[in-house]
Amino acid sequence: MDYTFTSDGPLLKCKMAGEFTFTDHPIFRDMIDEAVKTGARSIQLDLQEVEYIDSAGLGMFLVANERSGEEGWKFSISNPREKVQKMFTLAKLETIVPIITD
Amino acid sequence: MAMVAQPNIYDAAEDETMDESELGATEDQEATPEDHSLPVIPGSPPVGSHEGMHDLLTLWVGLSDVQKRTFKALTKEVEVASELVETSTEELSTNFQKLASFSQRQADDLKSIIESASTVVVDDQEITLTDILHVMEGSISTVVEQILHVSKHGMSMAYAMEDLLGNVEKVQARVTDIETVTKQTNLLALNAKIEAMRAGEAGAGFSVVADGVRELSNSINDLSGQIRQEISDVSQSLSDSQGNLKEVTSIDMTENIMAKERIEEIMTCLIERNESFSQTIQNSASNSDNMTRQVSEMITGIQFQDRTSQRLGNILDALKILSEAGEEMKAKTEEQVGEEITPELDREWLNQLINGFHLGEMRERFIMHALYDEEDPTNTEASSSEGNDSSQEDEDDIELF
Repeated sequence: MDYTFTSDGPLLKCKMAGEFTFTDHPIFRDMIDEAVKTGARSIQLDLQEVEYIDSAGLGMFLVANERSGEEGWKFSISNPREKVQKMFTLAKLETIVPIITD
Repeated sequence: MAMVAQPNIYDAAEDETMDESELGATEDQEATPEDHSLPVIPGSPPVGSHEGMHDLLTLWVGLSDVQKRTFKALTKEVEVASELVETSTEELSTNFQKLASFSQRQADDLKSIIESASTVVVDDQEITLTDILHVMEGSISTVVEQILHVSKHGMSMAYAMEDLLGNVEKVQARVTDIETVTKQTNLLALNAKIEAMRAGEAGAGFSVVADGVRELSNSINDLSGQIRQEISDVSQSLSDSQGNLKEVTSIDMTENIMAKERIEEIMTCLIERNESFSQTIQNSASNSDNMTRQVSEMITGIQFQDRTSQRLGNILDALKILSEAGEEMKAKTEEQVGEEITPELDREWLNQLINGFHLGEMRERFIMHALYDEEDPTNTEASSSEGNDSSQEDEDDIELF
């Protein structure tokens, strides 16, 4: 998994690309740390370029979401592809994390 | 002296010719069964004579007698017809009622199929197909939720282990620091020992201390080696645990998604098929209902028998009155003539009349009444129907309905 940041006011967009699985947990954690350090009030993970997510990836989103609650910033996900969206629907992720389509 | 119906013969020659012509007529009967004309009165008395009038009266009384017997036979015939209509109507009604009850039962069965088709009974509880779909979807959702739960906590653990591994690495670095310090201490002790030797007697005490310091640093070196080994074991265990966590948390959920979609598809098809079945059965049930209604209407329609019986009753009354009128006329005539008239049956005339009838059974009864004044027609009916089977087929096409 690779990522790039785009800042838009108080919103920080993390554009993720490739597959997002268990082995990506150090890089994902670093990404969140880095994003939090920018002082952004809201962090959004853009999944337009993400082809596949396994349950570990979902778990990491949930951990990040929990952290956002503890640290007081907004966490959201945007533009999942059809396959990924199906998984979100199955897991009812939208009831926990806001999923936005631009 | 009683009068005889057979009139006096005035011309023997004429009579002979008549006999011949009657014989001929009898032979021709099969060809002309429709001939209902009255037989020719043999001979003819002089016009206006007393004898002539008397003979004519005798003939009239004879005719009246024949009519009376005919009416009797007809009465029996009408009664038989009435009975037939009544029996047939009853049979028809009973059969139609059975038919109606069959189709009603069919409709009921079909309705119960419709009711039970869309549900399944599990542990005495009725569950619809839609419920089953929801139960299955619910099961998948529960599994997915559990996967999610495990994944989240697994990832938290993975993070914690990562932190732990960082700490272990730091400890390892500290151990290296300790080893460096120990090496330097060892070197320092060695230097002290050399300096103590060089000082000779005065340095003897120092030499002992230097040896002690060297031993200590060696011990520390051994300890730090052990710590390094143990920390390395911990680090290895952490790496192994991370591998296990990966196994636990990395679940490809594509299969779950596909399973859920497949179940939805199958259930949708099942529900659709069930609906189409129900629709067909519904149509069939309403057809059965219609059939029941139609048959009930038919049963009502069959009740014409009542009206028919009334009409036949009217005919019977009329026949009775006519018969009585004939009897009365005969009595009056006898009073006028001043003697009893005993008419003799003109067999030939009767035969000709009877041959005009089409119905074999009726003919039999008629003969019994007209010729032999038979009162009980049941025996006749039985014997005629048994004995005349073959001849009936030849004679009476009408009876074949």
